[in-house]
Amino acid sequence: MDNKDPLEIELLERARSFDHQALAAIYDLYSPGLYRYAMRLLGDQHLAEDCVSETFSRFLQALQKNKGPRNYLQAYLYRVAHNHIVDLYRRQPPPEDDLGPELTSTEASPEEHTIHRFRQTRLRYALQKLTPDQQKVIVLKYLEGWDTAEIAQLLRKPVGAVKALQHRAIASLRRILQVDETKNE
Amino acid sequence: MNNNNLDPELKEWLDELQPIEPRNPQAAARGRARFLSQAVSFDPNARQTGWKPKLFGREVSMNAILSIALALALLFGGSGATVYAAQDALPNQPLYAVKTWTEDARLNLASNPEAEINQLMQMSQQRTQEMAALVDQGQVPPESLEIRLQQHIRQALQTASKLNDTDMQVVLQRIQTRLQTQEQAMALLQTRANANATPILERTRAMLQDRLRLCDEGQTDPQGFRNAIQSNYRYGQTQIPPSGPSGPNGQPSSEPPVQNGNGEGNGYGPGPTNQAGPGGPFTTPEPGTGSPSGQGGSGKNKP
Repeated sequence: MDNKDPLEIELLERARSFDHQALAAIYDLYSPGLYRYAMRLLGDQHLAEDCVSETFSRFLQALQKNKGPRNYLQAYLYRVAHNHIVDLYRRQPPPEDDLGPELTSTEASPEEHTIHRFRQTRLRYALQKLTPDQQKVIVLKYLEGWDTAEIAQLLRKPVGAVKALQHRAIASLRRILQVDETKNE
Repeated sequence: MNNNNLDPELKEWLDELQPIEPRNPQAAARGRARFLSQAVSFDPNARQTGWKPKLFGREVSMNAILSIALALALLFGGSGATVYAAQDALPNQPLYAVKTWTEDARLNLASNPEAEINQLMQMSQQRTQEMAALVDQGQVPPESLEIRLQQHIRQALQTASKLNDTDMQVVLQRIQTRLQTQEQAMALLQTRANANATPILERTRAMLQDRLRLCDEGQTDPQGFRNAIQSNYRYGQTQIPPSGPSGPNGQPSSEPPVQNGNGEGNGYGPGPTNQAGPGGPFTTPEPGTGSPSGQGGSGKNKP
């Protein structure tokens, strides 16, 4: 599991001495992915931008105190972002029947569009019911395309444990969605 | 998407979250500018007094600058002539260090906060003009120029935050007027800049728009402005946010963070209109010059 990225290590090293070019490169490298991650879980562009902003702000604060990551920067940033999202949900859980903001406008008809938004909201609500680690596994593996070893770095768990977690996450998600479906019928 | 262990029904559900609407490039640029601005203000080595001027591309100490200034003074027949000759120098010219040194010296002589702010805003105006001059020469303004401009404005706002409410509101109005001029100049400059200079101009303009918003809000909510300055421009906070990782190994804190609140809608024009790079979110831009925006899609979405 110790496949440290040399580019990441070098950027982190330079960032620790507040090298502005390195910090800019880190932002450019990771902010698009963090934004996508936040968008998938929050479904709101403003909240997603806030999440990215807060994540990088906390990263700077950590560097200023000579704390923060020594390696696995990407995993660190996603952990911070996820904690922010969880805190946000804890403070202000979205209503279950809220259709939420528009995510995409590829649907052919208004009816399809409404169904799509409804399903997005339900899925997001179901994801919230998973444990934080299960949420990370589902979103990063099945939506962001991370491999198990990378998720293991993020979660600081052995690959085998992540696979078990993944299995449980899928089962839980399926069960929650089925229960919701039954309730809605 | 990785489909291992996924039955078709669950895959269909997850596909609902697969497409992501493209990130707003202006919001992304503002976020990037805010981050870089915070980086400057968080940098313990970037205080005004600690800034090291560059001469012929190398950092030099103030003592060296003084020695060079003395030599040039002898060469030009007097220190006044040297300083005068330096006033139009650009960052890529030898006398530029003399110019910034004399500016810093003038700043140190400021007798009161208003004079200090006035001097700082003049210095920020100088930096904007230097950017314009470099762009007109077909050159890309160096990042050090952007950082120095941020430092001037930051110091001016910090000094303003220490005044009483009434004086602060007057001073913020003056700063705002100056910043508006600079923001408009930056907008004009963007129209004639070459593509290489666009990122730094966009960042600078976004930073100016952010500070304009801060000045605007500071005039109606002086205490909020002070809080924002103390917490590095995170406007609207009532307390200092948690300090990030707190665990033994840099574990990020899961304490509820304070809402940032410095989102969009500053009311100062449309802002930069940078486009997402053709490489999408997976390209690794040249440090300091990359596009801040990106958009999702299917497939393996990793940086």
